Amino acid sequence: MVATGVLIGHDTASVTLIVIGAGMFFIGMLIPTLTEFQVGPTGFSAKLRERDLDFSETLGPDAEQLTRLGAWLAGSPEAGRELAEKALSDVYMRWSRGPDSNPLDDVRRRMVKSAPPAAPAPTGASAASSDLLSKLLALPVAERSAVVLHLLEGVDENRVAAITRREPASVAADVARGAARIIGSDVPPRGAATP
Amino acid sequence: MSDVERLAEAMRQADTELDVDPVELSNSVDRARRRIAGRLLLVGTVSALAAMLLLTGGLAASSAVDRARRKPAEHEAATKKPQGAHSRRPAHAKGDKRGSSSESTSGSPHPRPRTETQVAPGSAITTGPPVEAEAEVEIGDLSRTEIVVINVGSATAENVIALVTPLDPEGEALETEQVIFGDLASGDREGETGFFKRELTCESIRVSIKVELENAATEPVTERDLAPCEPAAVDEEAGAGSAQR
Repeated sequence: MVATGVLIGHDTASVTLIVIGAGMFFIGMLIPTLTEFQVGPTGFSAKLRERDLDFSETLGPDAEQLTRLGAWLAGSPEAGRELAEKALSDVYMRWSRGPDSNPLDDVRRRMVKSAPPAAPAPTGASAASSDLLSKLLALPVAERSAVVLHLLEGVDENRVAAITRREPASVAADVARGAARIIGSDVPPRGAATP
Repeated sequence: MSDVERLAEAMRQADTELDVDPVELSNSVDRARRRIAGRLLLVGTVSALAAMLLLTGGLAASSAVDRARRKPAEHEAATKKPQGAHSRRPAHAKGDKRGSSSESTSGSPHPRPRTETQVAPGSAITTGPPVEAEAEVEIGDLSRTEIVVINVGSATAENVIALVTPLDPEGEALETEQVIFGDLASGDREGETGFFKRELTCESIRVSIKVELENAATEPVTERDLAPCEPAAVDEEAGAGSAQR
């Protein structure tokens, strides 16, 4: 009886899993066309439109700034655009607007995280920007992101630390070391902060 | 102005010279939806495969349990069968006519002897859950057409099939016939004591009946239940005639 019960349980679990699997197949195929669906006044498409609107209103004004950040992190406007698009896509997938949420910093964090350690040679840039991009690309990602966020975008070190999830002192040291490498002066030892 | 400040100023100047095409948020949204759809499809595929594997495993385990359950029952039936089969060989096989029933009809032009057909009682299966039960019964010596009654107790079964195997005088098994006795699970018969009457005609002196209860749902077949309880008297000539196959 116990064995029979176990088997019946297995069969039930199997049927349940098959139903779940079939349902997920269906949903998976349906998702790309969800915007075309209107299931009642609070249906999927209404929710998605609301989400799209919120996403666009929140991050739309920062699109160009994020693309520029990507260009400085990745070495070229094209690579920067790809970096920003991917980060924005990640943020959209987990879009939830809590009272403490900061979508812009969330996008920045994902861009820093995805920045290439060794970017290809920059293209489509003027001589001055090309020189700076080349020097920036030679820096480690931590120093590069600290320099770009703090010196170019004007984000204070505490906020950069929050974005990169590092200690503020480490961020200050990275800014100092990165700047010294770009300028060509003596690189300050680890732990030294921005003068 | 420090070097770092000059660097920051130079970076801002270079930034204005960068020709960037701002990212379209709609592209990111489309990209995110494609990724969500892809993930859901992947999860759906994995779930469906896991479900199929689980179902196949469950069915295989079910079959294995059935086989394991059936083996001891068959073994028990096989070991008990010979006891009654040979101990109840009636006298007529040694030249005598049948027993007390035949005596009561002697003198009639067409005597209808009542045959004391004995069944080996030890051959029934009494153990195990009655999902599928099987029993072999050695009816004994038959010299004429008889009505054999098989009582399977209160077992309900979708189908009760007797496999009748006539034996020649040397005891060799002849071709097995399948006799369907009836459907116990249908209608009002369910739960009642099930008697199945069937006329069996054999030229042989012994008949082996194997009763298969398919999907019996209530009680196992018992020894008592399998004994034919009302062997009917049959015309001797008709029985002998029908035996000329």
